[in-house]
Amino acid sequence: MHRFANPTQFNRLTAPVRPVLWLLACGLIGVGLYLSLLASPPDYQQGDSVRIMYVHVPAAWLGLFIYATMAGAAIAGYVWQHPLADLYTRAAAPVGACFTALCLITGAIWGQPIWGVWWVWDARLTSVLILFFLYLGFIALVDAFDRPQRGDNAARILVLLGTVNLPIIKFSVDWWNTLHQPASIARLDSPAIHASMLWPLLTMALGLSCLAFAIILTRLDGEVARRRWQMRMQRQMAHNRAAAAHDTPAVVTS
Amino acid sequence: MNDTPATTAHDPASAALLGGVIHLENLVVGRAGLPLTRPIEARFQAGSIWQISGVNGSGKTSLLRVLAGLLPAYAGRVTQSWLTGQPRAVYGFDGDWQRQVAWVPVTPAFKPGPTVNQVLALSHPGAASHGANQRRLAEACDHWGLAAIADQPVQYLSAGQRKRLDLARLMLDPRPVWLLDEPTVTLDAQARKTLALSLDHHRQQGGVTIMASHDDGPVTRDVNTLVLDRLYPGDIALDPAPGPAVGPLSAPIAEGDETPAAGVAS
Amino acid sequence: MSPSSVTDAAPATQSAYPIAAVLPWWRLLGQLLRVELSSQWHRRGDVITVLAFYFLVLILAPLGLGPASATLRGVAPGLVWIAALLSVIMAVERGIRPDHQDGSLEARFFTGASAELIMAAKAIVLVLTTILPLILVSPMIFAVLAVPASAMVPGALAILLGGPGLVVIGLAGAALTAGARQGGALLAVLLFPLQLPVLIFGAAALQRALTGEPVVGELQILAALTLFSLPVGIMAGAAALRGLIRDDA
Repeated sequence: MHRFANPTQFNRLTAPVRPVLWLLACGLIGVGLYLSLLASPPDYQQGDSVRIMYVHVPAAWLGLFIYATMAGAAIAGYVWQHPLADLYTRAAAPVGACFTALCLITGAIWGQPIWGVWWVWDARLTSVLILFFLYLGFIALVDAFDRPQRGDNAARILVLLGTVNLPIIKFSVDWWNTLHQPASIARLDSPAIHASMLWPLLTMALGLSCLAFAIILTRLDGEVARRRWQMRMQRQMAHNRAAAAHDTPAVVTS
Repeated sequence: MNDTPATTAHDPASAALLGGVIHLENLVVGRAGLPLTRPIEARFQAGSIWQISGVNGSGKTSLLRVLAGLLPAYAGRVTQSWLTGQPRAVYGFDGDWQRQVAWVPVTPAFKPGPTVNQVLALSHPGAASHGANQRRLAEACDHWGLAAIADQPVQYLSAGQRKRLDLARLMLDPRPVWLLDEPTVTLDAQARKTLALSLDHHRQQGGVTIMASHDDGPVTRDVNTLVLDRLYPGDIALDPAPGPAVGPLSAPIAEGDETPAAGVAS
Repeated sequence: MSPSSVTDAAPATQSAYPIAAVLPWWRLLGQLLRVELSSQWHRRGDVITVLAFYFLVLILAPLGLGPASATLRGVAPGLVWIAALLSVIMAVERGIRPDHQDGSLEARFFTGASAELIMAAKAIVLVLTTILPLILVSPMIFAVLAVPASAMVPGALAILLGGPGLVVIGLAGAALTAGARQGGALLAVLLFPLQLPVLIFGAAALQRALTGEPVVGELQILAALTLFSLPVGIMAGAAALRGLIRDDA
């Protein structure tokens, strides 16, 4: 595990992985799109609009999964003081937020023909919306400090605070939704999914996951480079300061 | 160097055992992930006064923060033997250690509202209404020339008056270790004399004072000076070698530096 | 080459300086509470401001929605809790940021208290100065919103049980943002998802009280949420506080 701790080594290890992930993402998403748009049957109730599911459901999974990986990174940052952990959460948060937003948007597009409205305060949609706000809060916090290192500690704590609260939020929203359940809404979740739809779904899920982590790793590389550059600037300033101070004579009191 | 007063009751060898020692073991003070000082090796004995001097940005305040346990050391460590007689590392936010420390920052932390008397009463750990405590409070007021303004709200005080008030609190809540950041700044000549008296008294009692100060002469007699020698430009590598396997993204400066850590005079 | 050694010669010690007694946690908590309460007392205008803000939000409702009792009663549960949530966010922001800026936060560590204890003292004082006043004015608020007398006691009880949870999580959020450039809006974005459960169950309790249904279940959940928030919020807040002080250098 500690082999990955050194940013230079990490870069050496991930550099060959990144293009592979990008290629896999392109290939799997290409195949997945063919399977989901052309090769799979339309739903007998929802018709072709069911095809949005092949993006919507993986986006929801990834929204949650990326948050989980951020929680893992936050714990690693605390326990092992892992220097890359904070950079990972910084790199991953916007990606997670984008997938969560994608889930919300595709949900609205899907809801329009099925429910007749763009937005319904359904328990799942509401939970995803709150997850989106958790991401937004994180992104706002991490960049709100004058020095980037200051944001790291706060961001870790926020991720962990969100993680322990997530089950409670989910529970409250479910409960709230059953209390205010609007009448006559066709539930989206069918009891079982047919194999002809399962394969395109899994292919798309895998393809989008590859895409998500290809983006995250590329962003992480950028974050490492940016942090290095910031450290270099600080060093340059300290260097200049030391040079200036060195010119003035030392005063030793007695 | 060896200026033991004639009134010493104990032999000097046992003196260290009576009080505590703060030991800086190859301490490197840093800020924002960068070193500010070369490794410092020093022992601050009980019954001594230390003046830390150095140019702006040389790490004086940061060193005080490390000693207070508010800032982790960049490298090396600090131990103290005040609490148990055994050396114990000063780590972050150790309440037992911080309880021994009187912390006087450059800018006194007063909120608008309370009067001078109320501030003093609040800094007293015991109930201020007791007769004995009242007397000590009045004593501190007199000593620092605050009696005339005892009923003024602190927001109306001048910078020097605030500083005196902050220093007067040292008399009410006795702590063995005084960490003073630029205590003489904004003080007038009279208050400087009062500060010198306080420092001497504290030393005589067996306390230790470590103060950051500009090189404007010692506050009192027999002050040990630790000059935070500036880092040379070459000490801050512009392109550091790849860091250690686990650690900050920047490599600390190499140990075994050719130049001495700190100049000293006493 | 080893760094040069610096040691002062024979110290002029006459006797050992007595070290300050290490106090048990309740004495430390007492000291911290004394300091917090006194600082709150000198800023008692803040307490009034927060309370006035709470009132204002609730009084805007009849002005915006119309004075019909049925309408007001319909929105009262949600409105009371939204106003309480906003007031708490305002109050916690004033609980940490000014103390951090003027240096009294770091001074508090030299009482010998842990960051957890400092957060706990702040939470206790904020509950006393924000939640308690909200409860005291709740009869007036409920009257303004046409809530029947029978729902007043359960409604006030809900604030009493859920309020401390809001304060503790709010303080943790305030400690996270105290070193940041902007304050209020950022804090609200952070806190909204975390405080949502209390809002949902608090409003539900009042809703059920309005229709005369038993509210014990909701009150129990509110108490559970607060009991869960206490350790989580204090631990997270203490970690944030230490980070705040450490990064000050």
